[in-house]
Amino acid sequence: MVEVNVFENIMKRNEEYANQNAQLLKKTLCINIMSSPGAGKTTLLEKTLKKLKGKYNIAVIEGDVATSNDTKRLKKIIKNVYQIKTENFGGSCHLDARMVNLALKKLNVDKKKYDIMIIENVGNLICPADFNLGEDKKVVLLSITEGEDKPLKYPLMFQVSDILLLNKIDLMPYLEINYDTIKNNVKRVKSNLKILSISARTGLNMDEWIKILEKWVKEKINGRS
Amino acid sequence: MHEVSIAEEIKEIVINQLKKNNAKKVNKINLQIGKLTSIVPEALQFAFEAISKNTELENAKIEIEMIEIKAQCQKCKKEFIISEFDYECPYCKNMNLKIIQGRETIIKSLEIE
Repeated sequence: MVEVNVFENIMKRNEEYANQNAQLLKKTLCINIMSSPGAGKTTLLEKTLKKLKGKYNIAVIEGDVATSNDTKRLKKIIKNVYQIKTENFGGSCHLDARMVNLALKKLNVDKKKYDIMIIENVGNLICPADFNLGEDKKVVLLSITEGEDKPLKYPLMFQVSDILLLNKIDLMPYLEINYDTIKNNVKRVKSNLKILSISARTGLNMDEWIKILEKWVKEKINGRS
Repeated sequence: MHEVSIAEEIKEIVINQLKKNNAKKVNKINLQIGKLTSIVPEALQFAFEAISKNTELENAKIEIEMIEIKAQCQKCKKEFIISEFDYECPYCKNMNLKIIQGRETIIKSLEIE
């Protein structure tokens, strides 16, 4: 019996696909939206798409374990929506870069010249944080009904994200929840993480979110080669 | 379920290594996993056992060395290990930290024959 040194990154293949995706999306802003199930990702997307369609060429990749329910909701607003059902990939609890690579090809990303590609990850605050998809920005959505301690319980998700959208803020009067406690818990995990309180349902601060998104698009376009 | 994807990747790398080294069997797989990843060692072992049944990887033991989370304070530039939920510089109490270690997912070595 012999011991051989390997020193190989287990996530190497995912990273290779993520790099391929980034290449395919050189001229497209790609954001990866992550949250637990029911935090409001699809509602956020519906409202976001309604505000941006016409102005930008947008496509969406939907990740779920099963059903095309979300795709049906979004197809009422824009045409280019592709559903990944992870039950076809072993029921995976997250999207990986290879699944996204297949979806990008199905969406003809090389010909369609999209301005924005939005990936709605599988609802889960744990696993999606470990998988780079080749995106420009990671967005974590947390609804205030989930409790104050989620950043402490799932630190990696908040560590890797570029912005935290704190959703369902309109429910604040009905909950025994303290905004400052949430904010401090976020700070303990990532002190410089930007927090934006929104209500996708009522539209509160949605204009602010759209502004950030458009700023990112501009930054990406200015970097266009 | 996340561990199943990780186990599949390990399986592929190990099979390639067996070929490369003209070996028939792997007895032990030594991994280094960062504590900031969401990989659960027991779940990974279980997933690996399930997917390696009836392959040359069957009965291989997975040994995991957990790597501490290490950060560098962006103010005083000191480096330190971070314990649970306490992302604060122990020297100057600054909270602006850069994580420099703890997200590793590495196959370090294999015991093969």
